[in-house]
Amino acid sequence: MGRNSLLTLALATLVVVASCARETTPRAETGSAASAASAASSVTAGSTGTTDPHASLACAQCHEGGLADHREPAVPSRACTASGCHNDNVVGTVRLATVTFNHRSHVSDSTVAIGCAGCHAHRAGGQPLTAGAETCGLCHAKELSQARGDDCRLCHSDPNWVGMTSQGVPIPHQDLPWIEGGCLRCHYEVTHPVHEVSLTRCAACHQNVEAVTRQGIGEDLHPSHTGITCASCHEADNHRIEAMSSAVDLRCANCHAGVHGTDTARDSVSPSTCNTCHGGVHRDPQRMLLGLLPDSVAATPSNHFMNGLTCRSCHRPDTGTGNVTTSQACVDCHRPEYATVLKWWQQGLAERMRLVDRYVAGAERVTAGSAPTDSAAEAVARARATLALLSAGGGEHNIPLAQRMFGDALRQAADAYRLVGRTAPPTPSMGRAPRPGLCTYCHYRLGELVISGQMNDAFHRSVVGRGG
Amino acid sequence: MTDHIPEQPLNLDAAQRGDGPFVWRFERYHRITHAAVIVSFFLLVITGLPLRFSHAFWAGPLMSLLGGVKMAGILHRTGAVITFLYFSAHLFYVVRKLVRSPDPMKILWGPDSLVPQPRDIVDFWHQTRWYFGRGPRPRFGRWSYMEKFDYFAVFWGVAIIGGSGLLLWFPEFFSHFLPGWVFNVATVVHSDEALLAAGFIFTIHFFHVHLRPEKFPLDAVMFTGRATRSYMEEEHPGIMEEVERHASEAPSPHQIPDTPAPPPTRAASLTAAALGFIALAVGLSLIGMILWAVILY
Amino acid sequence: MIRLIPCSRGGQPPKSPPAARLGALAVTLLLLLPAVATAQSPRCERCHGELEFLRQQVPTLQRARALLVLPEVLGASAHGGMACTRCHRGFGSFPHDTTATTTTECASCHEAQDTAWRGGVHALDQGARCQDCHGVHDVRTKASMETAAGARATQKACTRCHFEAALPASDPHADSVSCAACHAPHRTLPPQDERSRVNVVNQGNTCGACHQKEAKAWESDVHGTAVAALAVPGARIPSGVSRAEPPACTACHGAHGMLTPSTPGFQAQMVQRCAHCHEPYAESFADSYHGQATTLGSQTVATCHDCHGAHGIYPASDPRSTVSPENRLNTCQKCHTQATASFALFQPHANPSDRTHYPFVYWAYHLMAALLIGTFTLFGVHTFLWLARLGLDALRGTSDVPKTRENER
Repeated sequence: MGRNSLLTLALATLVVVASCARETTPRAETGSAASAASAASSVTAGSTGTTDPHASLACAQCHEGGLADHREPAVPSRACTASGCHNDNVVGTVRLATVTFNHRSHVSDSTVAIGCAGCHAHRAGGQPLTAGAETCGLCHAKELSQARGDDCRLCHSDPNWVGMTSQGVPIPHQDLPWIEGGCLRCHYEVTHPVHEVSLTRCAACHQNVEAVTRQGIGEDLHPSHTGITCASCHEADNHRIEAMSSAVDLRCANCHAGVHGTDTARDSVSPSTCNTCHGGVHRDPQRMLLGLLPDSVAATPSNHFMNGLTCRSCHRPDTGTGNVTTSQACVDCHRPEYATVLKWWQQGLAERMRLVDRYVAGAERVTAGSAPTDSAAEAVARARATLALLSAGGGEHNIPLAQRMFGDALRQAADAYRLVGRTAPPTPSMGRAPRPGLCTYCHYRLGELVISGQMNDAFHRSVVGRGG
Repeated sequence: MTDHIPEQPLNLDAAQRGDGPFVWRFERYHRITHAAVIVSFFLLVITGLPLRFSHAFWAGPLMSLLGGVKMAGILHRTGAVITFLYFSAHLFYVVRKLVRSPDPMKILWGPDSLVPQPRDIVDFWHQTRWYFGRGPRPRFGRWSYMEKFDYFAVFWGVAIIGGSGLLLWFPEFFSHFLPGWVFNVATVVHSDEALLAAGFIFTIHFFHVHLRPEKFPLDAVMFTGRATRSYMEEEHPGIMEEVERHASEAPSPHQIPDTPAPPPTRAASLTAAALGFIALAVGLSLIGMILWAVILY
Repeated sequence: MIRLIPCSRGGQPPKSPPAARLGALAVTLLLLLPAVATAQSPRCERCHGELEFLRQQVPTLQRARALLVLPEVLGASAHGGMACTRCHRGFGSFPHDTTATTTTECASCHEAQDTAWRGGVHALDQGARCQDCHGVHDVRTKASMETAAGARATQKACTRCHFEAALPASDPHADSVSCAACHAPHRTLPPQDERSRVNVVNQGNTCGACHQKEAKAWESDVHGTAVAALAVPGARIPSGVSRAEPPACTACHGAHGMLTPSTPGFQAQMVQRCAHCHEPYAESFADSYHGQATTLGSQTVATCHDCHGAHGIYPASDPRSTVSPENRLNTCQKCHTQATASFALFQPHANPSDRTHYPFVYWAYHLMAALLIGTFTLFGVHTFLWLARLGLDALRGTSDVPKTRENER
């Protein structure tokens, strides 16, 4: 302003005086130097109290470009390997939760140049520079969001753990028949982090976002953004299991809400609490459905289960019949004619059970009196246990497995006859083992079965066409 | 002050350097008034400057440091009240002195008077000749022309700034007698005269009293009230006769100018030096801020 | 007609073409018999309400989630009572007809909104379709959109694309006003378009829908009439009014991120906005106590609108003006309760360089400047020469004042 320029002239003389007087006027520090100093002190201050060995280092030792004017002060990997801190041979293979992680393949073989700082980062406040499993999704989100069943094995290469359902059925992951490509049957909802970078992230550092993003569209921005952590741009959302199949991970209150009073808080207790009194009441049906018998024979899960059905698909609390399955459950998905299928199954199972039971009882009679440790007695006991499991677990849950179990029981009973030196009587006919494309799979009755009528609907045509 | 143990003179203080016993130069009243001027002046400048240079980068932070515009206003008016008090007290002092003095003309004219006289023009001429190596330095009497200027600058400044400030403090009241434009003029005068006062004190006065090589870094004679004989010979050779006349007397604590004085205690010297340096530092910082604001905005 | 022979009898199975190996999806779909076309949603929910089931039918979770319609979400939506087939026409039968298209056009019911949408920017390149703003199965009811929570939900939907327009928490509209309250929700047009509701010529009506009193006062004042003139083709635009920044609501208040009068910084911001067009006055204001205190953050001193009014601003010559000779004293007395007529003659925008209008200020300013320059020049030179002399003496070793200095060390 004109007014002040006059004063400039007037006070210009003062400058001479001030400098002549050997006394300098205190001047404010330049902005950048001051802010760098304050930033440096805040990080150091935040680091105190942690066990991170990096806390004792000067910021500029790793952040080679300095902290001033950078919202994301970069750390080049050479800063980590320089001056004998981290020998680049030290880093090898580490186990992160269920994943085996190889440093080398990530640093040198990756198509994207990930520096150390990509995963090992501290935010302001100075947490230790650890990198956890949550870091993986930052880059692999892209693959994860398009993952199919068998893609899990890319990282989870060796699923060798044994899980345990709330009902006490062990899940030996290594032995599961559907493990190839079928992880998603039980782990059906796995979080897929968002890989696209939100433009708001650019705005955190770049003043003119609009210009920057217009320029950067369609470009690989990774080479120009090394040294900063992946999470600076990509969402640090974890890749984790959100939900487990409700047929595996039974939640008691899903079906038995309010059984102990109206306090809804009780409904959220964990199954282990319920198990203290009601331990494993659904264990046998679950074994049947998942096809996981204690006999260590490879699992044969039910087709209904493998196609996405759960307990509540058939045992429906909303039908007014409690949790008992009615043929309505069949009809809801299949044609009304299917109303009788459940009845056929039940009749067929009961009939076979009666026949097998009689056969096993005969074997029991001939081995009666022998010691329980006797191999014949053991064989009979195994046959009896198989039948007990089948009747407790419900053959309807897994018809092919039920058929196999009947066969097993008969074979064991026949063995018992032979072991006591008797000729085994002929085993009763169980019919052919049901399988898709075979009428007995659904029309499951012994004896003569003649179906007549118009069965030329699309479904039956295809079934019959494949060998019914 | 009852401590008579001879102590090492404080070399930082120009008034304590050199030979000779101490001589009283300022009485208690002068020193108290000067202290009141310092306190009120700093208070007024610090609270007023941010308004004058409200767009300078330091104005906002300084204002919040002071507790906001409203608080700064209260502090500014507190400074004004102190100023009005010492100004009235001084008027009373001058009148009383004139009335009580057997020879009032000695106060208004002559070697002991603060009133500018032809001799000051002569001194100024000699000073200028000395600058160009054309003669010795003038032999100043009790008050050099610089000191007389300082005195009347404050006298005039307080009247002008205080008067205009009072107008702006109570505009509604004064508008009963004065036209509206007076307040416009008062704003301009108050602000510019205050800038002149601050600029003058923090540069010219500071240089003349403290920072010129003869005295650097500090002259605390106005704080302790006394100076060495050497100092008096050098700065005020014109009144050495008067000093000689009292030289044989015993040092007295009565603070009568020109009479011998006990040396200031170490504590008093250090306090005076500390206060002096604080005032110098604050004043020079303020000048820095003014220059920054004037040059950059 | 096919006669089925039970296999247990060992009969020869009928000749069949080689069985095709089908994936799990095909098997499932084939196992499910064609259902009778039905509009009953519970039937659809059997599959589309179960993520676990859907996940096994399609390759990716993303796709499964897209197919998932939670009954409670649909039930709470505006379309809660409707049958699925109302929109998903071709999907009444099961297995679904593979040629069925996804949805029925929303326009079949919402024709007016569709027509409006087709005239707006969101229809360009299908930039934002119905479901992008309204959601798919969670379509909100009109009543829920009109609540404060609904307004915030709308803001969230819009700012997914217009993230730069997100309202900061300090904005008075942030908490309870939907974007659609100002921007036409269906026929959305760029602000430059004169038909846009937020175009300067329409702001009076748009903002005035809620702020009636302010809009009405503005309509007839200097700003309102200037904007009205802009809207009339060929009308003379008052001097000083820029076509680029006509003084409608947003010119002073801003649009996204505006401040309420009680927010710290509102006064200073408003002064800046006024200064955009009224620069000389802003300069003289900044040199006055009012301006200085405002710059330093005071909330209580007068700024532009305290004297000139906020809405309903007239030239000082207009008797309706708050600063007209008739009203000026009243205006001053809003703060200076004891002000007199003479007080009101204070010139808040006095310009010290303008000798004609402000002679006293002109002279006061120039005399003071002369005094400052004179004093500092005289003493500056005096001081400089003093130093120069001492310096020269010291160099030549002829200093005549070393007495006290000797003792210094």
